[in-house]
Amino acid sequence: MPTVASDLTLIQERLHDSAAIWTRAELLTFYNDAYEQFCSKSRCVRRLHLIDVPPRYAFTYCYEWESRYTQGGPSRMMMLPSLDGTRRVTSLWEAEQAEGVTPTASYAGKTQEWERAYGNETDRQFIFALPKHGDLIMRVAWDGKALNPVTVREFDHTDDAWMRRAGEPWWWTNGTGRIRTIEVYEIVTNYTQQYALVDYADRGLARGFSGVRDYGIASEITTHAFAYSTPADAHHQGADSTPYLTGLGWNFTIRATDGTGCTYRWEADMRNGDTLTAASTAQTYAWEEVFGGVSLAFGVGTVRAMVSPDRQYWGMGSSPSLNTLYGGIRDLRSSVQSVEVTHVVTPEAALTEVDIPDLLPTQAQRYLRYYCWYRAYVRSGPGQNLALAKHYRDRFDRGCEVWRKLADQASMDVVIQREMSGGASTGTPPMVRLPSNFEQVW
Amino acid sequence: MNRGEIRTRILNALNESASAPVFWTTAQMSQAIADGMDLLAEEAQQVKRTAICALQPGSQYYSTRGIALDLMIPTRIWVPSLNRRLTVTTVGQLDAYHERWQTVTGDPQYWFPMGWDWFGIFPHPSTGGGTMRVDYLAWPRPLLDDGDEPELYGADHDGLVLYGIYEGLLKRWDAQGALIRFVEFLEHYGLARARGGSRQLQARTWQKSSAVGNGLQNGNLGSRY
Repeated sequence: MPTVASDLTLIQERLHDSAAIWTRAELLTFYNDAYEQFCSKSRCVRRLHLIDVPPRYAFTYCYEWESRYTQGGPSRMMMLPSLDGTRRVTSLWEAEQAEGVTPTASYAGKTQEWERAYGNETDRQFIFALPKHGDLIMRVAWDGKALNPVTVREFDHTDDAWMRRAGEPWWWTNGTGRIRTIEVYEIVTNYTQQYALVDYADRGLARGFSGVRDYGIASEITTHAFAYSTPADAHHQGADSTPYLTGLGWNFTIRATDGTGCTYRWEADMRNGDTLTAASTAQTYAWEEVFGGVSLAFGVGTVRAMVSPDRQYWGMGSSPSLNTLYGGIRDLRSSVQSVEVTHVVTPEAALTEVDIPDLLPTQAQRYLRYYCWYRAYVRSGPGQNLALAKHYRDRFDRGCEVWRKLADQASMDVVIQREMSGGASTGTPPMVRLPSNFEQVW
Repeated sequence: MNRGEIRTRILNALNESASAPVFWTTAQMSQAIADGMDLLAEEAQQVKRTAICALQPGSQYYSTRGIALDLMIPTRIWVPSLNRRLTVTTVGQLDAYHERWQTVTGDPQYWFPMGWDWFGIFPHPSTGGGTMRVDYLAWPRPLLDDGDEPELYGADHDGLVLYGIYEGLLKRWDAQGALIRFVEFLEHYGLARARGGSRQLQARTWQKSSAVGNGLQNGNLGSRY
């Protein structure tokens, strides 16, 4: 795919400008706007987003100014403002106290959703925050079951305690909260732990998996090329000198706490000062398994795919970067007992000149160029050409329309038609209107 | 017409030297022709291809990027082992049909688009094996050299000439002239679409039944393809 830089060069050629009027930085701004607008208007890029129940947030805050530092991540204002916004409260009685009114009993306040699993009944809304690049929600499901979209007004008219009802989720609503949040009812109060990255900061990408399911590693490298006993051997085979042997090496020793390599477990126990363990068969190669050795499997590098006959692990990427889907696993989520949002997404971050707009196919990049020309020609000052601007804008809009249809080719246009109720007209007959030249009768 | 002949016609129409153009480079003209081909493919839907994709165990969703790089959208999915054409449906229909349709396993009967670059099948097989034959609208193959011919009906090659002239006039900032050429080009791709889908029925008005799960029982759900 062409990079942003090559597209910007095409744009400059058409503008007959070498950054004298429209700088490269300005054109890049136009290009990023085009990327976002095309994804949003065409609705052709849709992704799944899974949220643990109870929901977690990247940031929570107590005062409005703190939202400045949430970096656009899923966030939530956890407190309720009172006393003209000068105080933040968690329970309603606190607002009464702050204003000098005798406090009355109120439901428990809370600051995090997981507190529902441990605390008393609360009347705080059950809010899920969505990521910054989410644009339009197409479907919300819980545990694989589609939830019905409703409005707060419908809730208010049907139940005076809808925000407190605990049970299985059936509905979702935009709620009374902020943009990029939804609410789900009925409320799940128990805590479900999904996948969690352990020691992410220290160990980087996921190297292995554990949990209630069985996980194994399959690698194209089924065995090792040579075995060695000390780290010095490894250095000798590696970058420190010209290696004698090539391929995957395996340290067959058991490391004691002082770093010594031991052939048997009891040797390591002895050096560690532990109770001696019965020795198992020492081995250096995988084929020794038939003589009592253990089965050797090597997971080399990071995880590239996850496969199961029982469920699908589906790679999701929405970052504007080269080869988005070829990286490592940064996050892993499950739809079991979780909220699953299908939504239209826009780019997660701004493109730079070395990036490619890989949410879209190469062929759609020309629409991004049209938008850039539209923005360039419509700008006041030298180079303005409103006729060309309008034409390019029309081309961009047409592209959005075509791609919206292409991405949703199964949907039908629905013709809404009113029908008579009971076969008889119940409307009021129109008032008689006489022509203006009708004879005056009074 | 091959690319060189198309480019010569465009440059002549723009009052330029066909052998040594000054105002346009040959690369720019080739880019304009490629854009015209893409636009015709998008609007006239003439370029069609077929790809084979293995049914993976436990997999419900498939990335079109993993099936063919030139895939624009799938138009027909056929499962050879079942001798069955999958019926196109929507997630909304599936939600109405089965509360937890994502958990249903079995031989696939329906497919549904999820976005431009992925689709799903329902039910999905829990054991792998078998294939899907995916017929799709494709992006045209890039022309390799000036002797290469676009994959279009001969009469539609003239549309590419008009598109090239249109792009050339845009570069001249001649909005009015460009617009006239573009309207002529639109007439061309209307004809191209008619040629490409000569056995296709005109759009019909469908009336959906209000019965839950309608369209999933007898495969009567309407589709544009």
